[in-house]
Amino acid sequence: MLTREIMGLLALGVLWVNGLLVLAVALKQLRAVIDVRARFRRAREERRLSSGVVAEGEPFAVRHVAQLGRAITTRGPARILFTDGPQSFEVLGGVLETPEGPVRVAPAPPGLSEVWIAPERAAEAHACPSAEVFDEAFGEASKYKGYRREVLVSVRAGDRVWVVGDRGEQGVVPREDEPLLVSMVEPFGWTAQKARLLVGFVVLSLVGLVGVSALALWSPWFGTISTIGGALCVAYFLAIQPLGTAVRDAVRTPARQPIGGSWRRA
Amino acid sequence: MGARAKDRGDWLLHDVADYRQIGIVSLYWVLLFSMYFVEECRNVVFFAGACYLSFLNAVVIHNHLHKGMFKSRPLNRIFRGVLSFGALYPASANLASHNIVHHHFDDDGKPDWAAPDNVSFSWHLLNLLHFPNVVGPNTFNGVSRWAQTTRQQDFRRQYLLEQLFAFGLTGVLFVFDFWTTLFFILLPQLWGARGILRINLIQHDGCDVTSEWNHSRNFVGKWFNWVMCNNGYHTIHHNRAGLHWSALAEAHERECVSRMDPSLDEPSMVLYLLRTFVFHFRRPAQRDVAAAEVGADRIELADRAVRRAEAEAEAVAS
Repeated sequence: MLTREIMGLLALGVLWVNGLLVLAVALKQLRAVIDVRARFRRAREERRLSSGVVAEGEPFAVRHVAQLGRAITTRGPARILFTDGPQSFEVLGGVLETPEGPVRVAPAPPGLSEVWIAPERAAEAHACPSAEVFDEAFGEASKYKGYRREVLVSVRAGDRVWVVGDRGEQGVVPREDEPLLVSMVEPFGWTAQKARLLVGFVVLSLVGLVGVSALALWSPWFGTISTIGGALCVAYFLAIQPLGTAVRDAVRTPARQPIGGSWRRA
Repeated sequence: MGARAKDRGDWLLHDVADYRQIGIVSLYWVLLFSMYFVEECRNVVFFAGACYLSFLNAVVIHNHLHKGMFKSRPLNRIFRGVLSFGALYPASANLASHNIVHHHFDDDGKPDWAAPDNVSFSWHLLNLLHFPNVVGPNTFNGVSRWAQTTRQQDFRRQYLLEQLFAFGLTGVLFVFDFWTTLFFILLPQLWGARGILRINLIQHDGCDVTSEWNHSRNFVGKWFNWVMCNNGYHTIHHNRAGLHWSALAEAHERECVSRMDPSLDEPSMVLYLLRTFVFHFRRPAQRDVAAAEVGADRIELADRAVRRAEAEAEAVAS
């Protein structure tokens, strides 16, 4: 016979194995964020990190994102929902005004470029330019093939950026083993924020896991408090999975954050 | 498929072979509710049987959502609800997640929600365990997005009804007997639902999803496929999604074998699982399996984009 005690231990085992797997992934992501921070710190120590305002370069760098738009068919005004497809980066180069003086940044081809865009700039680039464009797009988005477009998100003159690359005769160029990085996002603040998010997630999730398990094991087993604990264990199991993927998405580097978005007829 | 179905249907079903699937689901419900109502049925045999049938229930979801078994459209819709309770997820989710996205390994330019590279532990067994924890939420989010833009008029209503039935009935059972429901209803439900997600890793890890004939791993054991309604023949299923499951074995021999890397024809799933996830620590290295189809005789196979469009059209009409 499969007694309640045996099945209870089995269920707790399922909860703990999967809960710990989600946390293990979060710890891997934390290590990746720490590695990113270490990369920037090394670059700063080796004087390969330049920070300044774009003085020349229009655009200085771009992120190209292919998007497919489909008409939203739920009730409401006409809307188009966009999904990101393949993307690429290109550093076109220019001049940075830094505290140490002007720094030239050489162009780098798409395979050797990485561009971190600020969310506000991405939203600006994504926005629908006009009602006429919306109407034409909506017509295509309503068909099976959808509305295809390419979003160009640019780093422009006047933007404050951080650039990681080797200093050469041509200016700042990509290293052999890593792309030339242009970031509109302050990298140390970004890594600190993401590390805090991951640590917070791991700690709170572990506390939660221990807490709901303790309640489920409250004596007498299968009594009122224990039953509440059991219900919370089920809720925890169902919640920790989407929370884990939400945290995964939140800690993607700005180069990998989707632009997505939607248009709505004004 | 059409000719075969016309030959093999009766007043109720398009193909009488599907009585096997109805039998699977019926037996699953019998085991579940036996354990719920009869204390003596709460034993290893019933529980293991229910877990196994839960997985087969998910296989039936897969088959039924490719092609409804019944000649009656309302009955097909009702049966989706029955299947949804068995897996504790809305069966109609398969339309988007499996038929449209997974079958073409593409979500409008983004990767398949169930792509094997969603997991990356060094210890490969952990990948098998963790896979549903990632792919489940990916699928839920993806279906929610798809539901906003689908041109299928009543998809959202059907999807909601299936959720209401599956979660509603499970909720009622919880209210009447929490612990019995948790142990003898919910655990089997989750076993099947998570198992069918894991199958994506088992069937596609190490394959080349960009190729036409080497994108999937097949399990060709005779008895395995009798029980699993030929779901072991995965390559031919991807390429000819409209074929009834009872025709897959013959089509696999005829079309796939000569175009596939021999390593993608596994005689036994049990041995494959032991070899890959238990007796080896690391994930097997990627091989160029698609080399096998270079130089093979050409066969008529519609472009993947065309097949995707057909799947989308079928989803709208279903």
